[in-house]
Amino acid sequence: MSSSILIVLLSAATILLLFVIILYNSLISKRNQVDNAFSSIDVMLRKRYDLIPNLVSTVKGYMEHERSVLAQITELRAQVISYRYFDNNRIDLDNKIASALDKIMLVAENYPDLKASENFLKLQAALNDVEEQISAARRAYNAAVTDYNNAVQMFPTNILASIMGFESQKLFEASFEERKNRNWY
Amino acid sequence: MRTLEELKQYYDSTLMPVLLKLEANRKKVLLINIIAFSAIILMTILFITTIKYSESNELLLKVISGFLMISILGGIGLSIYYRSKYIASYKSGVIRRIVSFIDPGFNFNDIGFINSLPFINSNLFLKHPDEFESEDYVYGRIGDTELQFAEVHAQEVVRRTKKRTEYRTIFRGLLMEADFNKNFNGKTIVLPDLAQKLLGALGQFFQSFDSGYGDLVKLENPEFEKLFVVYSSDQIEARYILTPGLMDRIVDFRNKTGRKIYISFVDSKVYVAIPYNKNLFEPRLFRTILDFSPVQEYFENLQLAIGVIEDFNLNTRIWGKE
Repeated sequence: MSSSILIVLLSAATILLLFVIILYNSLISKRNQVDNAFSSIDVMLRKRYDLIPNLVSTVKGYMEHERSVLAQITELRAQVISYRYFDNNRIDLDNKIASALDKIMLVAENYPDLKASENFLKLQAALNDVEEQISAARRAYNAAVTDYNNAVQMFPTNILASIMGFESQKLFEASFEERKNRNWY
Repeated sequence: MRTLEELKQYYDSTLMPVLLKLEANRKKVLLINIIAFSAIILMTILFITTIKYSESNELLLKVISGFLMISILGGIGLSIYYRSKYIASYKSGVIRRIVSFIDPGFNFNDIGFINSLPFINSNLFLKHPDEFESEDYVYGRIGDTELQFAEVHAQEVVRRTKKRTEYRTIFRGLLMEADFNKNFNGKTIVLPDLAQKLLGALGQFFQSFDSGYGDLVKLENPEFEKLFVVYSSDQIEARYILTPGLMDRIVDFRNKTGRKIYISFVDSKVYVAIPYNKNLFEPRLFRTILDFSPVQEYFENLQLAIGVIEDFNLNTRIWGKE
C-alpha cells in the first residue's frame, strides 16, 4: 500500500514542479520582453536626437529670427545624450525636445524657400519616420507591459509572482503635448 | 474612382455598342454548343440502337462508333474553341474598357500573373504551389504607388496514385501587390482570425505557439483584433506598419469586401488576398449579356481592388519611401 501511494505522491510532486518551472519561465520571458521593449524606446529616441544637428544647420540659414529656439534645442540635446537612465529628468528633457521640435517645424511653415529645399524635405520625412518609430516602440512597450501585468495579476501565475517578487509595471502614458498629431506635412 | 452613375452613363454610351456585337457572338457560340451537344446525343442514340438491333454486323458497329468518337471529340473541341474565343473577346472588349474607365492609368491583360512569384513573395500561405493558374491581370499606378493584381488559383498535391493526382486548393481568388508607403525589412502577416472568435483569450493562448509566420503581435484596436490575427518578425516594425490609422482603414476595407481577407507586408510591399470561389470576370453564356448588373459587378470588384491604394492611404508618402 505504501509504495503505490509514494509513487502517486512523487508523480504529483514532479508534475507540480514542472508546472511551476513553466510558469516561472514564462514570467521571466515576459519581464525580459518588457525590458527589451523599453530599451527599444530609448533606441528610437536617440534616432530623434541624431537628427537635431542636421535640422539646426539646415534651418539656421533661413530662420534668422528663431536663433533662441535653435540654441535651446541644441542645448537640450547635449543634456539628454549623456543620460543613461529614464528618471523624471530624462522624461522631462524628452518632452521639452519634442515640443521644441514641434515649434521649429511649425515656424518653418512660414518660410517657403526652406519648405521647398530638398534637404529640408528629406529631414521632414526622416523626422516623421522617427516619430512613427517612437510611437511604435511605445505601443510595443505597452503591449509587453500589459502581457506581463496580466501574468503577474491573473491566476495561476499570480501566486508564483507574489512569492518570487514580480511586480506590475507602469504603462507608458503620453503627456498631453505629445498626444497632438506629430506628423508635419 | 468612379460613381455608379458615371458607370451607367459609360455603359449606355460606350459599352452598349460593344455589348451588342458580343451578344450576337454569344448567341452564335450558344448555337454551336447546342448543335455540338445535340450531335453527340444523336450519335450516342444511334450507337445504342445499332448495338441493340444489329449486334452481329461488326462493320456497321465499327463505323457508327467511329462517327460517335468523331462527334464527341469534334463537338467538345468546337465548343471549347468557340467558347474561349468568346470569353477573350468579351474580356478585351468590356473588362479592359471598364478598367481604363475606372482609372486611365490602369491596364488589363487577360493572361494573369506570369508566374507564381507574387503568390510566393506574399508569404501568406507558407507553401509553394504545385499548380498555379492565373488570369485577368490589372496593373497601373496612382501617384507614387504601383499596384498589380490578378485572379489566381494555387493548388498543392495531396496524393499521387498511379491513376491520378489529387489536388487541394491552397488559395483561389484575387491577389494584389502594391508598393507600401514605408520602408521596412521584415515580414508582418495579417490573417483572418478564427480562434479569437471561437475562444477569446484562450484562442490567443493557442495562437502564440509557433505558427511559422513569426511572433504573435497583440494590437490595441479591438475591432481589428476581432477580425484578424497578426504575426511578425519584429514587434516594433509590426506597429510601425500597423498604425492605429491603418488598422481602422483595414477594418473598413475588410467590411467592404464582406470576406475573410489576408494581408501581408513584405519587402516594403503590401499584399492583399481576397478569396473567391468563382471566376470574377467571365461573361455569361446562357443568358443575355446586355444587362447592366454583370457590368456593375465587374466594376465593383475592379474598383474595390484599385481602390486599395486610396483605402490604405498608400499615397501619403511622408516617411521617406521613394
